[in-house]
Amino acid sequence: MSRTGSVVRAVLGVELRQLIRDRRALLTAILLPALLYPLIFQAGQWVEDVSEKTLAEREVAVALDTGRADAEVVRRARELLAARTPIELIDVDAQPVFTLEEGEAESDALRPVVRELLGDTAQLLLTAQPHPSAPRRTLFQLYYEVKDDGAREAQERARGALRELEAQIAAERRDALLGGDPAAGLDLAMVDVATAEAARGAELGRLLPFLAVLILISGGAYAALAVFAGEREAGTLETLLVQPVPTHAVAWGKFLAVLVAGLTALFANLASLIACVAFRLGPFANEMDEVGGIGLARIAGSLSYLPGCVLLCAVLCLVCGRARTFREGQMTLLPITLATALPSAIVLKPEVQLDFLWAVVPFAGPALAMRDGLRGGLQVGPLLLMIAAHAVYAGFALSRLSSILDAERILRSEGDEQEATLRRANARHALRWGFVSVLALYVIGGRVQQWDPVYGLLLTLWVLVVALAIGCAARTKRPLLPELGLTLPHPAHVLGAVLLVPGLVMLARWYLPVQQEILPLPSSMAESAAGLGFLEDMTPLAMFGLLALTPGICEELLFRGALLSSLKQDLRWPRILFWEALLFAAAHASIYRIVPTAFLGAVLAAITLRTRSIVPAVLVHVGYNGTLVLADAGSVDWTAQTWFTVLAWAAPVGIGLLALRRPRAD
Amino acid sequence: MTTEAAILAEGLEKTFHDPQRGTVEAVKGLDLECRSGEIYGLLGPNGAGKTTTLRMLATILAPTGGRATVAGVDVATDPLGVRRNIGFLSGSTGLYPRLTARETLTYFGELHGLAGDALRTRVDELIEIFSIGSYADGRCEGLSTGQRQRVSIARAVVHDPKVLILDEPTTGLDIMASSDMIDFIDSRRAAGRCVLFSTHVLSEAERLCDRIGVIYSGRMLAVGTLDELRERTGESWLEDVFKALVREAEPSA
Repeated sequence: MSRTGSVVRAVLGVELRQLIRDRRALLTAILLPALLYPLIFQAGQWVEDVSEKTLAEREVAVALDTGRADAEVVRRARELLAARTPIELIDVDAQPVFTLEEGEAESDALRPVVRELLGDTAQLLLTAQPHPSAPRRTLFQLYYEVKDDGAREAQERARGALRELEAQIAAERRDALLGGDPAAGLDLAMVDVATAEAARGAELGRLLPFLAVLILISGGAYAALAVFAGEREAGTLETLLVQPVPTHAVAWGKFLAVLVAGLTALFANLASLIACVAFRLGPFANEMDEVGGIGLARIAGSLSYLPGCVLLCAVLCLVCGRARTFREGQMTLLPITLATALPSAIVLKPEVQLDFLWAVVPFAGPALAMRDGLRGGLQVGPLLLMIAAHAVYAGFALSRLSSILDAERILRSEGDEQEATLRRANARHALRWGFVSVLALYVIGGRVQQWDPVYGLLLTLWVLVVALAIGCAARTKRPLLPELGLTLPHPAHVLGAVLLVPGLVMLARWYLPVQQEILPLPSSMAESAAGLGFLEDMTPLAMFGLLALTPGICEELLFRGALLSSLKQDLRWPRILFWEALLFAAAHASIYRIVPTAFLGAVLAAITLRTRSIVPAVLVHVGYNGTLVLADAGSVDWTAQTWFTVLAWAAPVGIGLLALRRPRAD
Repeated sequence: MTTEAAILAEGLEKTFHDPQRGTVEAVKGLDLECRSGEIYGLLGPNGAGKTTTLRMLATILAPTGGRATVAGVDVATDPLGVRRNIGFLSGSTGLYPRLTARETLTYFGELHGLAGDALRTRVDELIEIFSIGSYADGRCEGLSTGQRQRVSIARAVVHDPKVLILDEPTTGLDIMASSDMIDFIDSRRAAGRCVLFSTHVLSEAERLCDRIGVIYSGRMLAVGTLDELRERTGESWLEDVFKALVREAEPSA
């Protein structure tokens, strides 16, 4: 075995040994979730069965006064009622009730009379008499007080018996008069030829890709935090870094430990879920006809999620590895969960299958492959592309792993607590101003836009937002223009940023139908958006000025100018992007736009960090808004993208990214 | 005492870029020579650059200027070669809480390329030398401070290094554990090993060091035996010697 190999093996062995010895983590991350599925499903089923059985076995007593009604109908009703055992039928004289009903008495007057007739024994009073307006029909009336399960059960049984009787009588009359059902135009017989295994696999396929993400994160994230942040907390990292071993070998050993932990959690949970399906527990109880598995081929198909596992564990290592403490690492888990669960949501669209385009989308490809594999309809070509694409992504992530263990970076980030507190002051200032700005936009901006949509929007952005930006920048006591990001950018960066616009627009257009599936815009909101009458009267130039140029300049001054300048004093780029995305999404105040606005906020922040000027971000923002506002969405069929059209969009984006790679002018 | 230079640093520099403080010169052209069989104490207040210097010599940090060799190996061009020849220990060094003492020694032995019978023999030897047999198979999280310190020292010398670099090794230790550490450092001289350790505890330096280097604001103010330093400053107590050297370098201090 090579030196690197023996080091990887040694690190892997030690990390796994430590993880296995952390019984609390083992229990909560792996064993408990795996045991919970069958336990919860079984317990739920048991409670339901017991409840149904208890009610069915409960003896109920029904008081009857049926002397006034048709004798044959009453006989049949009594027969059907008596069949719903255990039941006791008690004849009573309900004349006081009939008298009150004839006088159209209120229920307050009826209550004591009914209670007296029911006494301590009966839970329901059933009366029958000819219908006042249709003498051929019998009017049954049920009086009860649903205070306990007994009354509810008595009511259920009486109602069931009477409905059955009604159906029988209606069918008899229809047959007698018409010789059959004239409304029956056709007979429908449905035969599902899918095997029981296929049905079970498809059912599991709707659930498992989502669960896989959550399970991997629960199992893998703890491991990632333990092997990286845990090492720093234990004070062993410096010792490890001074050993005569290549850093990448240590990083690989740690990554493999995270992968083993994640896969163990996944396989334990997968086995548990398959067992639940096989034994028809919980939500699977009514879907399947018989007890049985999903077949080895489908289990093998579900393994097509493995490339997603490798990528997710690599990402977990990259992100958790940068955390100095467990707590700091835990803060990163929600964004990771969202970033991985969101692409996996594509499995909710049954018409979308794994194809060559979806195969390259991180986490969406493996999710679709797993679903299609469990359905038994996995296509080899897209599967191979998905594996290759995810191997490339994971390879890139793993190539960055060594940087996590870069001693210079780690040791430089170790300051004393006082210094750390001082250094966070800028970030706290930015976040305070950020949330105050969002609140001001809700309260003041909302009011003035209610007063007049056009002038309100202009006032909000040109006065309120710009004032907030200047206020935030001025409070830092640093030079105002650089603090607002108003510096001269490199021409290549300007070009690169502008070339990103087509890609962003395409992403937005592609995302909207997906969003409509996951979180559809309520019809009332869609109607209100369609009814923005003031826009119809505006020229395209005025619309561009109002909805593209104005927000492009003003919002960038605040979010990518003043706020980002303070954030970047203290925070590293992942946190900056997170807060920028959150604040920008919050400022737009719509749960239905949260994903696109958060994404745009993060992209614009990344551009500004890269170019050290808000000018490129302003151009991208104006271009993005302008294209979305002015372009005729109906002229392009976004669901029919071909490789050629994708290439036409992707080429400028690629050139733009290359241009943005140029060194920054300091 | 031999005269071979186990550690040699010439004009060693380390400059950081700090977003808040701008460019920080932690070590400014430091010269240092430490011989085999010698205990060399690096004496200085907090923030003087002791830890940065030791970290550069241990190849944890890369120098931004000058050059240094450890056991004849250049720290910049062959860091792994340097690490094979050094044992590093600091006051803040921890142990893996869920590994036993024996597993800890085995792990670091593996990282140093030991395997099979040679590894087992070396681990047993260390357990014997440092008297940790009674708790060798107990997890480190259950050990006392003194027991942990012994395991840490054993871990640092698992590969019998030619050079020991110790960064404030007694910080945070109780009297007994400190005493164990001082005895251990003393024993290395007899074994012909070079020990370079930093401290701001003057009594430790006075008791152990063959030579003392006084470091202040990233610069080496003076190097010599205790007697040489006394003679140079005209003071008898090391504390006064240290203050005199600092005043000499920076009259306003």
